[in-house]
Amino acid sequence: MALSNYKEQFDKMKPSFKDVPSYKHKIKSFDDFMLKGWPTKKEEDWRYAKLNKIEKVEYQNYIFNIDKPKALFEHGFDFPVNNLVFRNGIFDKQLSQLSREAISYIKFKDHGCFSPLPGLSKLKDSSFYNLNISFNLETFYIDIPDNVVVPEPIVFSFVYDLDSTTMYHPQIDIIVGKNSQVKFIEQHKSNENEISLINPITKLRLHENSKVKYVRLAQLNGPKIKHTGHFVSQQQRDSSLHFVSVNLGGEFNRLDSEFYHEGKGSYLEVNGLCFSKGSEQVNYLSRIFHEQGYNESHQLYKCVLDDKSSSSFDGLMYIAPQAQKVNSSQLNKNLILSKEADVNTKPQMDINADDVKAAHGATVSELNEEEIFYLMSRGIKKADAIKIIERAFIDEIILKVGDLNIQHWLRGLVK
Amino acid sequence: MNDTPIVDKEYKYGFTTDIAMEQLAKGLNEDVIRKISSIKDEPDWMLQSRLRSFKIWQKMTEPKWAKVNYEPVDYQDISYYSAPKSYVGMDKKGDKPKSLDDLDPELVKTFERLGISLNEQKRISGVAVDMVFDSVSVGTTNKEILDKYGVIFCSISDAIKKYPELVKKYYGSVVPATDNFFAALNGAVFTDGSFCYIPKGVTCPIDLSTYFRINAEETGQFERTLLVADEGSYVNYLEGCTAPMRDENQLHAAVVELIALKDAEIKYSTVQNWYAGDKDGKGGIYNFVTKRGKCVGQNSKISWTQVESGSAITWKYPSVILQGDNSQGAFYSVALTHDYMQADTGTKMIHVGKNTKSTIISKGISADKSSNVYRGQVKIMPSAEGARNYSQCDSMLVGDQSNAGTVPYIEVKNKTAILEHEASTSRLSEDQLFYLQSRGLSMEESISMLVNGFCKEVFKQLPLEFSVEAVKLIEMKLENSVG
Amino acid sequence: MLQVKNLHVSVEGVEILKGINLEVKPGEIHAIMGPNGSGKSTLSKVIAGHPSYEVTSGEVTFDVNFEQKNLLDMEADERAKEGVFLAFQYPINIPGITNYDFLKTSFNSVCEYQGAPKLEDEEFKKLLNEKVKLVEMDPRFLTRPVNEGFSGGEKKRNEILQMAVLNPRLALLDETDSGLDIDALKIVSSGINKLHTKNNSVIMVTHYQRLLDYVVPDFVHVLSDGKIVKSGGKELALQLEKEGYDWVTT
Repeated sequence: MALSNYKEQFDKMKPSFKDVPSYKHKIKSFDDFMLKGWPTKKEEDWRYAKLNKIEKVEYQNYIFNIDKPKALFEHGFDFPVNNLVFRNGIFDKQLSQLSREAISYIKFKDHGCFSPLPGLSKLKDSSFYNLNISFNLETFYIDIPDNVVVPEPIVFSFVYDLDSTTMYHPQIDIIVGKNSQVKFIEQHKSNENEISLINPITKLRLHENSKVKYVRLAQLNGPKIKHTGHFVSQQQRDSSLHFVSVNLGGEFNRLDSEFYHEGKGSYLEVNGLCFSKGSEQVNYLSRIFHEQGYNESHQLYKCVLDDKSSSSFDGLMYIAPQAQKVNSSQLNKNLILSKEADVNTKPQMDINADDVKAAHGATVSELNEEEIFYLMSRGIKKADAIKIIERAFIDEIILKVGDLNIQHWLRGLVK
Repeated sequence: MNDTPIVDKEYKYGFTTDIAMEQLAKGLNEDVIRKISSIKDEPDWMLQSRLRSFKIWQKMTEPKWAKVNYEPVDYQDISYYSAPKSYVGMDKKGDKPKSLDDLDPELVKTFERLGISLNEQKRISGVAVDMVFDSVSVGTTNKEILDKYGVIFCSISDAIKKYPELVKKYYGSVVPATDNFFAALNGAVFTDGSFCYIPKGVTCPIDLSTYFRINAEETGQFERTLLVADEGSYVNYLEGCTAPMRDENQLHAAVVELIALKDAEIKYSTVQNWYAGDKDGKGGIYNFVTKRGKCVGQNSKISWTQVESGSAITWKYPSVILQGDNSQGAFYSVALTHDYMQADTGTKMIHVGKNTKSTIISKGISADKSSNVYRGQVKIMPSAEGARNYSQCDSMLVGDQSNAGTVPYIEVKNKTAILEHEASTSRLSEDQLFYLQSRGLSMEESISMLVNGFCKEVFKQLPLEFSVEAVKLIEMKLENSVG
Repeated sequence: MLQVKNLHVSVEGVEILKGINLEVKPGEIHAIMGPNGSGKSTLSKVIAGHPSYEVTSGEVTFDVNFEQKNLLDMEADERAKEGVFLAFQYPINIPGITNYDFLKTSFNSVCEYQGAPKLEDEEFKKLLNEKVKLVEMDPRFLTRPVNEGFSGGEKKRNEILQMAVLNPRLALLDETDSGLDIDALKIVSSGINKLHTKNNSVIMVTHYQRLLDYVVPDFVHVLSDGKIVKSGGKELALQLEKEGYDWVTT
């Protein structure tokens, strides 16, 4: 049985974490994983996910691969950042670069005590989430104190360059103190020959009146890589979070995200961009919970699809009965470049308060012949015209980042 | 917030007119239908159409899916024909009164009280009015101007006799008897309504208007309106309605069919202020109406604008079938419910042709114990390439016992469709009023500003005088609701 | 200018303010701080006349033209016309009405009450343009509906703009700094400072001490469980920032 591979590995690892605070949590998570196995189409949240017989692949946990040879890697930022580099799951001090101030914010705990999920969360039912809890061996903590404005973005660069069938389970746990302002970039980049499963979890807690910009990039350059990312944020009163996620490439590229408004007066923007071509698949699932009122959430998710690729957008907006005066919007726009591309969109609203504003929309459009013709009639080659139109489509998301350096960097990556 | 329920300013149209009426005995059967047809001196094809509708109706059951509760209507307990006597004799000869001066003066006074002057000298400038008193159309103003342009605007009974080819061509093409229970009933017993035909390329020089007034007791009003805009024409049509205050409910089951041919545009506005029942929910009109427009030709446009502030029960879904390529349909509505009124209303936009566009803006205001449900359907058929729809449904709840709901149905069978839907519910709350008051506006000024702002997008679709009326109407009804 | 004497306020039967005494003289800036649930917002809303709150005892008087008027007897709009202004913690959206129309209606309403001449469009626009510069807002926002689509920072600046236009004698700022980033905070504070003269007064309710670095208070009061438990100068705010509220409230 395919799952026996995982049982073997877990049993081997058990002794190393039996004295750790999260021991019980890990055991339970693994049991849940074994019971449920990999998700199938019958599970509502995985209806549009083609996992391509994942049960036939036997991933090795990255911790068993430490001694394999590594190729060199460049980190590619031409503006000042605090860069924490993880190669194939392990923190690489030499490649990293941190200011003195930033160093004081970082803690690195083995067998971390990963903060618990909020009550409404559905991630505890996710097999991939449980797999991460079971197999992760170190949590990376960032603790930004109160009243601090961090000038340079803090970057987590996860690079994967083993040509192997490995599974990676990074965990990042961030707290941003009262009134503080920080920018983060989390990037996962792999090379073409990887056949791996990249399965990270990031948790972000924003304390009162803090402001965070978070850019998350999953750039998988190979046709056999699967990425199942998880992102959870909890916002306290008056805080603001601008979140931008970009998913490119890979056999299966997915992000499950949950955002909680736990206090009043908070602001949230969730923007997503994805590209898929060939027979790639992108899945995007987001749940926004308004537990308190007087908040705003705005979500814009844009997808460009070519060839026979497919994308699915599953967005839930939940407004609790006591959460009055919420202003929320959700828009999914898809640009299909080929008639065989497949789009699924499922915006959901669960609204239980009666003094709120909720908007949602979905569009699926093709390249507009008129627009292409217009550009061509100004002397632009058809292929270039198409590129220009695509660029205009995606730039809306890139502009949401609101930081010129990061925007420039993103534009460079995205073709 | 006070518990004072909304006290409606006296419904000023609640009076009755004392006038000799010819009325058929109550009950509905084939004989009644034949009698109606004979009183109206209709050609045989019309009688046959009625009988067919009647047979269809007999096989149907009343729909129960709308979210409204009402005392069941006893269809045998209604008289299906009532007309001012002075009028009846003339009708038989196929002539209308030569001039409106021939009408019963009581009748004329009634309309003046309603603000509609039948006197040619005092006519509402710029509007041709067709007055329908109970079941009959009693007169139309401004005929000469319309004749000059070739615009036909008369009662449908007249049209059946004078323009049978036209009527036969379009009657029932948008709302056939098989469509629904009330449409079938209407097809059997309709007594009058307006017929309008705008010839090719003509922009109708003045606005057309029909005014419905239900007066007689224990009757139902079943009017039938048919409006055809030929290629390249334009018409702006207004419909107003009132009824006296009575304890029993009265039934209003109308059918309106609009047809827009290539490049034509029809704008149809309604300000409905039927009697809504008293503070305890007794009496009031049951308003069950089937209104549908068909954009038959390319580039045609139909828009429905309505301000609904009366009637005990409202069940209406003005719809547009977007058949022609590039056709556009729009629905703008403000529906106000108060006391015990119930409204289940909305629209249907059916996209069939290519590059069709529909816009829905629905504003519901519910106060006291009333219930206001928006039910809208946007259907994109497989043939509808490039369809676009924008819907905005906002509800404003006044007080804490009112109820609003939104039931959108979206069915998309073509991938290139673009749909955007926005919904909001808000409470006309102390917070909002306080915000305005804390900037120096009095309570009345604050309510006015908030309600006006809320309804603005819809009101600006109405012709100026109507929009001023509409604003006043809504404000007046909400005056004592908060604070 | 303002005297609050033994004010007790309840909402839905629960007592929130349990005997507040406060005196504010012309030209003074007072800051009110306190833990969540202490009743800070309640105090400012009650002075402005919010209908949800019930004054069970006490009085609030306001000096107008050398007369002492009992504010509690006046409706919210009357108080506004007499020169009391409340900047809301969560400003309200008013769709369908532009900022311009709202400001003009409000301004003229207050003018009329105070016996000053109403302004027509041309003159009002001139007045408005000056005020818009004060809060560094783009004049184009005047054509947008009130607070619709505004960011949190823009809404708070809009409140200060309204204050600039209505020129109140007593400004109650209810958590005007909550949700603002550093840049927006500086603009809002600068606006408040520019509007402040020796003839008007400001009461700032704040949850975060930062605001007080930019708008320096003459007096700081700590509100806890419905009562003012400590008053002092601006150093009090710094101490609270360092040590929290426990040492004051126990």
